Amino acid sequence: MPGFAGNTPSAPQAEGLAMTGSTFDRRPSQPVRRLLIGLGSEGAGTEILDMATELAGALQTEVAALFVEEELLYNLSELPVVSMVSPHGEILRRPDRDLVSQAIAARARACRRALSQMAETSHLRWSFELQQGKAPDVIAARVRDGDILLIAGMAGTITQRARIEIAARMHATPSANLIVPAQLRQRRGPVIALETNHDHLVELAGKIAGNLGEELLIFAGDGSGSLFDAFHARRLHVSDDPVEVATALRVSRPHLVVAGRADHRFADPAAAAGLVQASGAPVLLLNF
Amino acid sequence: VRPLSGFFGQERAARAIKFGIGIRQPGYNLFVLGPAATSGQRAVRSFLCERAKLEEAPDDFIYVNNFEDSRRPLALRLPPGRAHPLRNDMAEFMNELGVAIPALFESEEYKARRRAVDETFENTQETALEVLEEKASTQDIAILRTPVGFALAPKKGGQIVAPDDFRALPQAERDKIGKKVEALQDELRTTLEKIPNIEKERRKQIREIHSEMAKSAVERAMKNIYRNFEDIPAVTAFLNNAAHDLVENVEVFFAPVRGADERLPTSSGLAAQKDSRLKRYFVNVMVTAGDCSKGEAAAPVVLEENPTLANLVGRIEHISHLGTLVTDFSLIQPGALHRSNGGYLIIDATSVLRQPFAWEALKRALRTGLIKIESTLEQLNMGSTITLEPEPIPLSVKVALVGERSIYHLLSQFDPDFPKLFKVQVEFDDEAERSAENLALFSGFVANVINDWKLKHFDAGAVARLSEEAARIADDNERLSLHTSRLADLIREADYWASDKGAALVGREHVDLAVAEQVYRADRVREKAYEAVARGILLVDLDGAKIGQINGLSVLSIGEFRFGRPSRITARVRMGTGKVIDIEREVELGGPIHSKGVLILSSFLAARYALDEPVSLAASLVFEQSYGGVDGDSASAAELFALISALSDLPIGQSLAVTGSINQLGEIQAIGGVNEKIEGFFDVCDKSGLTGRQGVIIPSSNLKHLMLRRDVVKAVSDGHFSIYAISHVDDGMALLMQTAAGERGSDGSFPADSVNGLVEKKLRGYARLRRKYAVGAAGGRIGDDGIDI
Repeated sequence: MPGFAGNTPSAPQAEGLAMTGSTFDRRPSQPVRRLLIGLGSEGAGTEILDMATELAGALQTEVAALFVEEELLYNLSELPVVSMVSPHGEILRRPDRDLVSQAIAARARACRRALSQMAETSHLRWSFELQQGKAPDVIAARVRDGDILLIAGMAGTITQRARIEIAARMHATPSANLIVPAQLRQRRGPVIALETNHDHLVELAGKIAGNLGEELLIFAGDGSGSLFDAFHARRLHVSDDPVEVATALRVSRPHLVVAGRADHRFADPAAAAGLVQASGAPVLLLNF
Repeated sequence: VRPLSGFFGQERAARAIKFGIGIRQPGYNLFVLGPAATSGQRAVRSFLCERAKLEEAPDDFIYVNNFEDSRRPLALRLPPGRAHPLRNDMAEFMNELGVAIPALFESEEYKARRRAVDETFENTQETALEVLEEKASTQDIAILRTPVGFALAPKKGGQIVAPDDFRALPQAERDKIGKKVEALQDELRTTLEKIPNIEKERRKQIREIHSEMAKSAVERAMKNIYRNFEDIPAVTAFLNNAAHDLVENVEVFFAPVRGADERLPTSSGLAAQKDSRLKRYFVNVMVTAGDCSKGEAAAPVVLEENPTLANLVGRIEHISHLGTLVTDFSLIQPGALHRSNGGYLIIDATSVLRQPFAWEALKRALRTGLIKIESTLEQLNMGSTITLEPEPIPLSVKVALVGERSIYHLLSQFDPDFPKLFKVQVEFDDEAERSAENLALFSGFVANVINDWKLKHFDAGAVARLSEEAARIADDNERLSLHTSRLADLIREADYWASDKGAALVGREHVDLAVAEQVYRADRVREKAYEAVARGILLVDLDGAKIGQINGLSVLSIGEFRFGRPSRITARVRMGTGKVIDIEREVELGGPIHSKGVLILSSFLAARYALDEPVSLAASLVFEQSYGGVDGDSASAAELFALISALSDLPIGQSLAVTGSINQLGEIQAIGGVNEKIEGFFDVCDKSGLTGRQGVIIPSSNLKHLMLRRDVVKAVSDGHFSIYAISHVDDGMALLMQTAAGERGSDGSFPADSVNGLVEKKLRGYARLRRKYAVGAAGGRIGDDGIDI
């Protein structure tokens, strides 16, 4: 497995895997090149950036942030009927373009500062880019093969559920991999691989778990083979039923969930959001 | 010889101490006074220690955190010896909790309950916003999160309406949208206003879970401490408060204990104590008795050598935290009053009076019966750091101040509090009778010093020699000095010299050597003075006879070393108006007592001779070659003899020196330093060679004070030197002028060739001469010498 082989104590070399006779998909996958944080004008709190840099550190990859100044917000200031309410419920005066611009710039600066500190502390290469436009479009245009994309702070959403749904909708982008962030994240807990008959997924999950010093827990479906026993992972039999998966995730309290982007359980944005909420952990959706 | 228990020859002091200790009423503290007080300090301490052993150990005191107001730590009283067990139990308890509580909050039970609450409230918040978002969406209004807050804007087909499109809408439509936005804005505001309350409620429920889980753990861990201290209600109350506070603030255990990587199961709880967040549950032991179970406990006897304010009443220390000085109850340090509480405190009076605020603080503590910790900075209103007001601790102590008599009298006169607080005067005497009983006790004292300092044993001769030295220090052969510190010095030095000479026992010769070496070390000035006499720089005749010249004796002190030195005193007479000029006084070198002596001798002359004539004498007296001050009246007899010699024209034998004071009746009175004076003259004579005619005339009343050096005693017994004791001036005349003094006969006159007769004759001659000049003066005549007579 190029890019991952030999980097994790819990994951054996790819060449050593007993692939013969397996039913797994052995298509070669794209190596992870960087972790791209797509930031809407709302920006992201330290929790999201911390999670991103931690994962980038576990994958030993670059972390890049793309901050998008939403055109939408500038348009709002020109609409005569827009009403503004503060997060504490106070009525605010309608923002003019300058005020919006200043607020977005301040948010961008704060994100840049936080990212630089965290990345340098973790000895990661990092970059920060500022763009204007519609966030999903700008981000989608920037995603390259081998990126892990993390969407945060999308304007136009007010609930966590809505934000997760937007992130999940990024399936439509040609991105290779996607992280759906969670609002409440467990500091410690296992890395869970939702088995999809892809050895690449389990191996990557094993690498992340090893580098984070966490246990690797594999949710094996009805048709799974036994090949993954070689990963020194704990295996839990969980059916494909989304409800059962959600229950198992809730009980396991994972640190990170790794699943296939093609996993049917994440096909529907609402269902994906439900699973993320149930796990209480970010979900890394890998593209195969 | 059995070591001495207590002290000897101080019956008055012993009774006073016994009384002072026995009476338990307030204000009956002791003031130990007298020049021997420094030695007395040790004696008092030894006395008090003996007494303290018979008394019960006092209660322990601890400071604990006041959970209601941490600036006012609480003082708890515990039965003796219980403070350390409580401190250890609390430390153990905190260590146990340090492990148990984090484990409790790692448990699945806790995680499940916590998650349930989090999810409930998370969903509550989210649901409220989702419902509103849904409602707004049905009305084609979008609710957006922006960097400046939530925005409500019209949308169409899932997209925000562009400004131009909006402006193209009919006015009625725009108004309608405006009203919808306004209504939703109010709803959004109401929803957002509820969110803090929801969060508050969430925190409350989580806190309840924490408290509920912590309570059982705390109660479990505290069970033993409750049982161990159930007999002390104050401790039970503290434990209740601590338990309640722990349950309320159990979050302090969530983060790792700072400065303690491991939670070691130590009895002192060092690991937990390192964490400042947990300190407030610990116990600060201020004072505790010894281990009662081993019978070590007794009332404390504390000697405070440096009675500063802080050393007396305790202090509150501070530590630097982020550039600021902070403190807490664990930094309260006890003072001497705490340590001696329930027992005895010995303080040097001069020291406590010298320290700023210390004397006032001591009096305040004794007056109020409370130890209140105050800092010097607070007293000066200069304290700017956060500090504490610890609860005062009840005080029950017997204070023994040790000081000079002058301090006692000054305090009595000028400090109105002093007589009320120090009612027991313990006066140590300077000397005791040299009786057989006291000599036996003196031997015990020597044994004490030997034992205390682990010295060689002294043989009987050495002890006898020490007793001689004690008498010599007392200046009295019937007394023993009670300056025990000086005697102890001599004992230690004799031991040194015995060791130096390789002796197994300390003998008389070693005591002699110790005395001689003491003298030698301090002897430089004396040697120079005697050398000056021998070289004829200081003019003192040691043989022959001179009119109007006599050898007086004075004593010089250099520290504790005193020595005698002869001085030439001369007198000159002529006709005058009856005035005796004290030249020392005229040039302000003579002190008032010396002047008094001169006036007394003038009065004696006037009252004894030529009573029917006016005193027509002009005389002058001087200490030759004296350039320092002269005081005391011990030379008044010598001055009188010099005057009489000058008046009688009878020479005075210069081989004799005289000391003694006179009264108006011509009686010779005792003086001080008689031994040093005799030895001083002896040494000067000895340097020039003893003739056998030399000697010293002393008052008879000083005979009992004679404790002369052995070489002087030997010279006297061998007839090389003499000591004459006289009780009246007439006795001295006969000795000094080798002529009978003469008694007034039935005709009222002295024999013509007697000393007194010659003096009276001279005085009558002056009177006649004066009358002659007075007659001349009436005719306007002036005396030949130019003096207006």
